[in-house]
Amino acid sequence: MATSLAAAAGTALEDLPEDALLAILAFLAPPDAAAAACACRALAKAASSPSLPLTLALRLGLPPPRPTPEACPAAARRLFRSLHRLRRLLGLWRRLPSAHSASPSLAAFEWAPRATLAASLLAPSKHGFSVSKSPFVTLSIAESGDTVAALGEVPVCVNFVGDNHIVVEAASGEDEEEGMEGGSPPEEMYMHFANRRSPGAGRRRRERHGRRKGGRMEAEHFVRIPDAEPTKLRPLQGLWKGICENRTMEFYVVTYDDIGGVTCRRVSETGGQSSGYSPIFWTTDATFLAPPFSEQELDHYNCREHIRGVTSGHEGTRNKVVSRILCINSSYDVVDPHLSAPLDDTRNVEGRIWLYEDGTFGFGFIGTNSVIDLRHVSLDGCIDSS
Amino acid sequence: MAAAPSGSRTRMVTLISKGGRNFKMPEAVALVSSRSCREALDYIEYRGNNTMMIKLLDIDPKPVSMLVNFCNHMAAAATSAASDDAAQRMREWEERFLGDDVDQALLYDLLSAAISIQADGLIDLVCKRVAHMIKGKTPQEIRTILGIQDDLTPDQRDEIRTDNSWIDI
Repeated sequence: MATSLAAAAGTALEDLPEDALLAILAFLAPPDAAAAACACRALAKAASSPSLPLTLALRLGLPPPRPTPEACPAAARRLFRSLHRLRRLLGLWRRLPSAHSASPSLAAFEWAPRATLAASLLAPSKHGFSVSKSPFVTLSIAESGDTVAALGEVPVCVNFVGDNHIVVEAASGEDEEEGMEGGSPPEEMYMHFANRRSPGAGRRRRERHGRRKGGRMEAEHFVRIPDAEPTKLRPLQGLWKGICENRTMEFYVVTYDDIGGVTCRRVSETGGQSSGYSPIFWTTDATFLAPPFSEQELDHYNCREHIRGVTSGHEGTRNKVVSRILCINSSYDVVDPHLSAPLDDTRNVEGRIWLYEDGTFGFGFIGTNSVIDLRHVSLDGCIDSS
Repeated sequence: MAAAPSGSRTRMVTLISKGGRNFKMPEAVALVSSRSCREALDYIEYRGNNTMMIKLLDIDPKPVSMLVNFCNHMAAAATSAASDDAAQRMREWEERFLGDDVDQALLYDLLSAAISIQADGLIDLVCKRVAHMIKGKTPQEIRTILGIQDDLTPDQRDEIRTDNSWIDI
């Protein structure tokens, strides 16, 4: 890596044309771009240029943003920050359980026309493997360069708490705008806590606002689902959908840890304080069994029924070709709460993952005769609604 | 696009560096990486030796040579099937391409060459490398790493302090 000082007689950073400096700054988050702007005159000029948000927009594949009416460096910096904010929101998020929310647990933030970001709530459809999407929050960039967000007609704020946690709550007026101006590190933490009101005053203000718009909105917290799609090295990771034992579709999140283990959790509709993110299976060793498989392993798989939805036809009933097998564990109360095991029986239940040639997989447990087959929710960055 | 004369050889793109050195690549290779070439080919007319000449007379030979090397590699990669393995091999090649023997001066010259022919893939690669050197650093650390002088005017300092009071400049 080229980290040495520039050669005395060679090209220096300041010698680069402005479009080269813009291209570099467009790869930096706003705090880092601000620090770079403080390093020298050339970077300060590029960081304040209205071309910087344009460069970032083009790199993101967005249409060129409308020039702000003010046409000043501060407006360009606001526009740059807003574009970065929208980019950071892209992807899949999981709602944290709330006492008051019984809404779907998953949200997908995707680009929409005219450089807006549209968030949808994902829920299992009543038909087979389909995923239904309902509109949630829409974010866009105002003429001033600031981000504006709305939940239907209700203005809301979408603030980061760290990189992988956001809070969606009703906007509470002009203080929000002030909180978004300037820069304090970490910017998002500052805005989140600056925008918090005292329990009484804030709630009264939000209630007034909420009532005007037809309802009170509680703050909703979401955490990012990183790595929402599998890779060749991690074929199980990601967000999946499958028909579970009660013949309805559920979402599953499979993650790899740093020590070679894999965990799968089911994402359920949250209601009350019960966790909607319960472990289903896990393993500390993600080493697959490769073919040829033993007769016992083949019997484990071939004698099982692939669970189908209530309205599913023969879709997916044929046994898929298994390319690899993984041993997994679960617990009695997860596999079947009605199994006649003593309450103090803490033994694990053993199971298998059958990885299919098409990249999907199914899982099942010893002592049951079913396979839950999972399919991708997101493919190449797009939600697969089918 | 003008049709090549009958019986013509493969059309070539020649980059001319400082000192008049020529670096050639087939037109098909240039079209994969260079937006300028793609756009220019709609307008130019090949004559005689079937070569498009692009003058990069203020850029040294070495970065121009590296630019052609990059274009050749991208064209070869474009013909192979996409896969996680291919992506991993590409990352490893990019690490070697901008290895320890590439100092900052060469990095910036390479960026200038890439911008000249709008080789977006190489622009992104070099900019990511420089951005990585800047990320998480204070202004003084950035000056040290990038070897740049603090030439901010007093007015610029005041404006920066107003907008970014948390940064120690």
